[in-house]
Amino acid sequence: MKETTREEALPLQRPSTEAGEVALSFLLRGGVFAAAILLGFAWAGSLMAGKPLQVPTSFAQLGSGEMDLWDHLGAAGALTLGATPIVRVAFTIPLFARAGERLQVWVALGVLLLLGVGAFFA
Amino acid sequence: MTFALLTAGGAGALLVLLGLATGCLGALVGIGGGVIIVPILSLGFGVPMSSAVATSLVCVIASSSGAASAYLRDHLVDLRLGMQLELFTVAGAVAGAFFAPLLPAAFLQVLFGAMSLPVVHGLLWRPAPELPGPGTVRHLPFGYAASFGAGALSGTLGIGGGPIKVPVMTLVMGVPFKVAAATSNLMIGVTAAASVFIYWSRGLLDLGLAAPIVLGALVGSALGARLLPRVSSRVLRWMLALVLLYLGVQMIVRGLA
Repeated sequence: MKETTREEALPLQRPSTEAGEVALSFLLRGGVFAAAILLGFAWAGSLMAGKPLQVPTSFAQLGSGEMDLWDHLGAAGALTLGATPIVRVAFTIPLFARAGERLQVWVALGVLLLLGVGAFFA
Repeated sequence: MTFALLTAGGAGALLVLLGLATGCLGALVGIGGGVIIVPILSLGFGVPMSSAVATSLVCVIASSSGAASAYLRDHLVDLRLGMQLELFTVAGAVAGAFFAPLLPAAFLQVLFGAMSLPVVHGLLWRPAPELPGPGTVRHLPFGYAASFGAGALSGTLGIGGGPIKVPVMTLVMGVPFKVAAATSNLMIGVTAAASVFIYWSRGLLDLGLAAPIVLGALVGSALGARLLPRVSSRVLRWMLALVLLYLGVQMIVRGLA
């Protein structure tokens, strides 16, 4: 099989996106840090309150009054954590677009599209 | 919900430690840690399997995103390769979700277990590049196919893509081990995020259980990301080989049972 050099197809690093990779790093760190704070407060609060954390499974449940502050904080933390890698994929689109790498833009769009398809049919 | 108050006191500390250990190991060898968390939660804490899987997915997102942030900053991630393999992994996961009921799970478990043995041998004895730098990425189509397979099998076998993709990147595609582990960390968070919302919508996510593990995993992944440059690739390959051996045996036992 013909070998594809990294320079030709998939360079390990390209100066055109190095700054963007650092920005993606900040995005991921910010997401997990925010999620950790929310989940930490929620966990500590639920232990002090002596009741288990509830996780809403519908939007109706959010406003039903069944959930207390700690449940809301926990749900916000889990949502932030789950959304972080997906937002990271979305942020690679302008990163690659600015670098003029159309193939990678389509790849990122494809990942988001497939995630949407998976979520729709799940 | 039933198990949430278990997390008070000593059990909570144990869960934080569990997250810390798996987060550190995951950051070092590019796996999510579900292969360790799920059996410990289900066998050690008596948590139902579906809740244990949902909890491990949240932990995988935390540890992989935490580690990937450090690796992106250090330019250790092959972002382009990661994105391309991620596309095939997610495609495989979507296809697997549709066809999972048709797949012979027990046969696939035994097959995966049997195939892990030559991979363990390759990790231990086959020479591989140590450092990232100018080189080649070989056999891209094989990498795409393996990523698709890893995604498709993730639901059936209950594993993330890491234990399949890291050996493929290292042994077949010629990617240095540390780059493979860093790139895998970037990818597995997306696959886990896609699944965790499904478990959440079905009411299987227990945040009282997940929160302490996530907190431990975040610290563990930061520790692992700091350790990675200091540990030789040979040691890391041994660590992954041991995890794969454990996983392979677990799969064979589960498949035959």
